[in-house]
Amino acid sequence: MTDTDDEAVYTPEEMCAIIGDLSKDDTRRLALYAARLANTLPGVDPKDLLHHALLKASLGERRCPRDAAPVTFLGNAMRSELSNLRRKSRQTESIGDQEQDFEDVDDDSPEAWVERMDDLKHAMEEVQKAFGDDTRPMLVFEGRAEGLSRDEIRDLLGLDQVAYESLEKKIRRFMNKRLSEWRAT
Amino acid sequence: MTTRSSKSKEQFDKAVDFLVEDIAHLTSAELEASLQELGIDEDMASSMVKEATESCRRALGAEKLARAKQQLRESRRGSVTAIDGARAKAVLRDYWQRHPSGVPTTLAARKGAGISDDTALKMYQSLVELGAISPDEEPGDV
Repeated sequence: MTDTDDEAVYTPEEMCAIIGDLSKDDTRRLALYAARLANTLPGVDPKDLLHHALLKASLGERRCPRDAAPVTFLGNAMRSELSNLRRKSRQTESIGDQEQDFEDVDDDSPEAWVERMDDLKHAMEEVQKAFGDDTRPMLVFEGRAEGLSRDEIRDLLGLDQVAYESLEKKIRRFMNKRLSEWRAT
Repeated sequence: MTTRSSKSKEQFDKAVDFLVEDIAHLTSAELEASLQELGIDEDMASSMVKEATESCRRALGAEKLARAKQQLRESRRGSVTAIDGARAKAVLRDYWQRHPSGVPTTLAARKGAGISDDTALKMYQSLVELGAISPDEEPGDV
């Protein structure tokens, strides 16, 4: 990293100070990032996600650009930690029951990703039931997962901005709730 | 399978982004409601962040301590290589006179006889690393 790059990011000391002085809403935001992200993968503890993201930012292993909101940056850092923690969690499970060798755990395997996406799709299928014959929620979710932009999906469905945003909000809310209920059982 | 799986990873990433992308723009009331829907009240949210902040602070402290220890070891090692065998023997002789039972060795060795410069340097280095003598110590220092 060059000196100019260094100036464009918060120093580890500044990041520690920001983390130590979070507002009530930013504290809520971090907790919400951790909870929602952890719910997308079984076996991930939201506290671990938070701990690793805060630690890497404090140590300077992840540097927050000065033009980014630190809490959004930390949310993205947690997002990046998801796969790492999942791997560690499965290794711990393997040690616990002593039935699986470390080598058997390939968390980045093709099958693992298919399984995880199927898991989210299954949750979305349950959410879709709440909308009855209106198939637009599933189309929105699948479209976003396929990488379509909001405008593209909105045009496809013939919805205005307000109606589309309201629909996305409902889907997100129902999905996060459904995943949370799954992980709790 | 590979195509489906790499597509699945991309889809999973985008679906997860979709599930969290509104958080940055939620109002206070929306944040509170969103947490409650996941069974997380105000106290749980704040203690979750507090615990993570504290465990992070502890880990940072441990990291800083380990780094300081490493720097100390390196600075001591640097000092040791700067001295020669004769000076190492002189410092050792002095140390043994002050601490006769500190290091089990022969009487002849305590007078510096039968010890090569290399051995003397190694013993000197060990004592510096143990903190028994200072790398700045001169023969005759008390």
